[in-house]
Amino acid sequence: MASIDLTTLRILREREHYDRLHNIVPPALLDVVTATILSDYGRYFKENPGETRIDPAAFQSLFMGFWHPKLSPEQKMHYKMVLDQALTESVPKSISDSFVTNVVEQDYASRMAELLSKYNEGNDINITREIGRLIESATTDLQKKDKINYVEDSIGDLLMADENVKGVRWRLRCLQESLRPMIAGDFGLICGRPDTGKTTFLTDQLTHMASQLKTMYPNHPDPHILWVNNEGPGRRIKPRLYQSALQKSLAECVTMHKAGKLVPAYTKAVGAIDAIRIIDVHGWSHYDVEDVIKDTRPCIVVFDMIDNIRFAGMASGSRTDQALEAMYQQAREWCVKYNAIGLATSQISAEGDGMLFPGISMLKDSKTGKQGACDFQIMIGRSNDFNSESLRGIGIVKNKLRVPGAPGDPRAEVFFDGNAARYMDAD
Amino acid sequence: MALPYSEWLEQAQRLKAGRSARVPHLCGEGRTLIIEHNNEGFRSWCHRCNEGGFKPHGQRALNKIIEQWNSAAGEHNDYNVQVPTDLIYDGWPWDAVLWVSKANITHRLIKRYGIGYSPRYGRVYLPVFSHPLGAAARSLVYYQGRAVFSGQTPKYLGPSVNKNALTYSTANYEAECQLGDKVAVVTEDILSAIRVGDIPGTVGIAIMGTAPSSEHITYLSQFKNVIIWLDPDGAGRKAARKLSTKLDMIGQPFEVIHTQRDPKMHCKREMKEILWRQST
Repeated sequence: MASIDLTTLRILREREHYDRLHNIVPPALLDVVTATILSDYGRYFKENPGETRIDPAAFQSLFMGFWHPKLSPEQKMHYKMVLDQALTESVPKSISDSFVTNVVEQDYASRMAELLSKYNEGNDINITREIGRLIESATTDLQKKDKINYVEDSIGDLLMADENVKGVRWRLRCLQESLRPMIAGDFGLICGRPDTGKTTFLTDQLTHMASQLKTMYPNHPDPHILWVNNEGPGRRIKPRLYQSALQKSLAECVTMHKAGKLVPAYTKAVGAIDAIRIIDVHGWSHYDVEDVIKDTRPCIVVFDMIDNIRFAGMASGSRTDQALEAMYQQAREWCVKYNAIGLATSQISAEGDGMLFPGISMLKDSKTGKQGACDFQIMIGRSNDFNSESLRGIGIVKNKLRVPGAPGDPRAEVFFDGNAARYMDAD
Repeated sequence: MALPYSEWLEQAQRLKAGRSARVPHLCGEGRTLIIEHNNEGFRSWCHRCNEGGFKPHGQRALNKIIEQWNSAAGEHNDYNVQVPTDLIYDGWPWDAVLWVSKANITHRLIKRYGIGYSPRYGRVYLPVFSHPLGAAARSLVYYQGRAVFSGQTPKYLGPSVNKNALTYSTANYEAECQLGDKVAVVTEDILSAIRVGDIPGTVGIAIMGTAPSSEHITYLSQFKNVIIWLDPDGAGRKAARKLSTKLDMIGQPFEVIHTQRDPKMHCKREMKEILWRQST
């Protein structure tokens, strides 16, 4: 069988095929000679609108004489030999019919060869996972080719669904008013300067969300929240969850525990004792994290923090912001793929220090990348004024979950009760 | 202090107007000398000596400039490609003998392909002759000066030419060779080409790297069959795929051989077996 290069040149010399197919062949798949000739096919058809197929003699004459007059004798001979092969022989119908499938297959074969070559050169790649991913992607591409799935839902259904969206709600009223309830696939960032209270914000909001899971996911066999932690030890988060759920200080929790009332009260508040599961992933690669999400199928995944997950296979020498963007994109993809709501924490950079409402670009190592990968971005700001120690600013600097009629960014001042691990609306 | 004209001016004068080049300087190894031919005159600068020179040529008429442009036929002729004059073919130091012996290059092959050792540079020189389309006779177009002593840098020395256009072929060392009756065995390096070219019925061809060019394809199209036998590393395999696509596109029959070692690392018996297996 002739190579994909020759087949491409033979099939695309018909204007009808050229117009329809020339954009689907990935340029990286083609030899430079093929790419040059193919580009000149386009020129030929453009300059000769009446022609339905390439005329071999005319094309060769234009190619050698006008379009590429400076070719060396060897290059001229090389192109002539290729053109003789491409323009004189035709392709059997069976090959022509399966051209698109062949292109997709060749493309994936070439990607697979590249992958194996990288692996053999010693790059940090989980080869079985990457092969699986390629196969999955190839299958999707081939199915796409066989059947195009257009969005066929009626506009009425879509508008009603948007209006009556049922999802998981925040505890803070300022967030409820500006963000529509979250549904699977939504992915947001929770950002704050170090020691602002990001973890407490999460324990506060998640304990409220956990109580809604059984109602929101009645058919889910095990509705729960997965907290993927690679910041401090996960053990430190758990007491804070109990405090937030019950709005009690640590001392009050100890007293309740001694009286045997803590666990029943927590279970009642969040719906189940293990409604929020914390997993320490220090040093894990992104393959391992994905495995856990895939196996446990949580309703909400919290990434604290994505920046610290080891993304294997990332090209060495990638800029930090590019690498982070890719990592956040990946986390978002997991949420879509595994039907979960995603919340990720991120740090605000030094330029946002002391500001109650930092701007969208004030994130550590990312001015646009992380921001682009999320649906909404909540900024927890704080003033450096000593008298405002318990004051926090809640801003939603990016909001794709906007509630119609409500401000996209509430810029609300809230009260931070560190003792009871809760945030409270000001009024 | 300025560099004496004797060390660079003649080479700079051979450059076309507006051109510059990086060439070897007698201060040591490597191409450390930049020479330039610009509007005002000829310039030089050696990065090792940290010295340069300038020779003004004054205002020149346009027809003189055009004449000079047209007089230089091509990149290959910008410099006289010459191997060192002190090459010896016997009595090499042990390190030089060891390097060629590793590739099973015998004394007979050394003589046949003009491989010489230069005591002055401490390198083994492999001359590359070419017989371009339409040319009356073969000519020396390139050489590789290979370091053989430990710590010697760079590993290879060679004149500044367009390497894409180079094809090393053992057929260029035979008095008469009908390419249409032969099988071309394509390798990456010269020593492998010499070794496979020693098998009867074959011509060894080195593409001098992993980038097959139009020059290579045009040359290979003259053979009855082509066997691609590149090194077993990633770059070699990738180049084999590229080359086979290019040959397929011109309808040239070809086969691809993959082995665990470079072609030159096989003994003659193994080579014959591998090539024989391929051709049956």
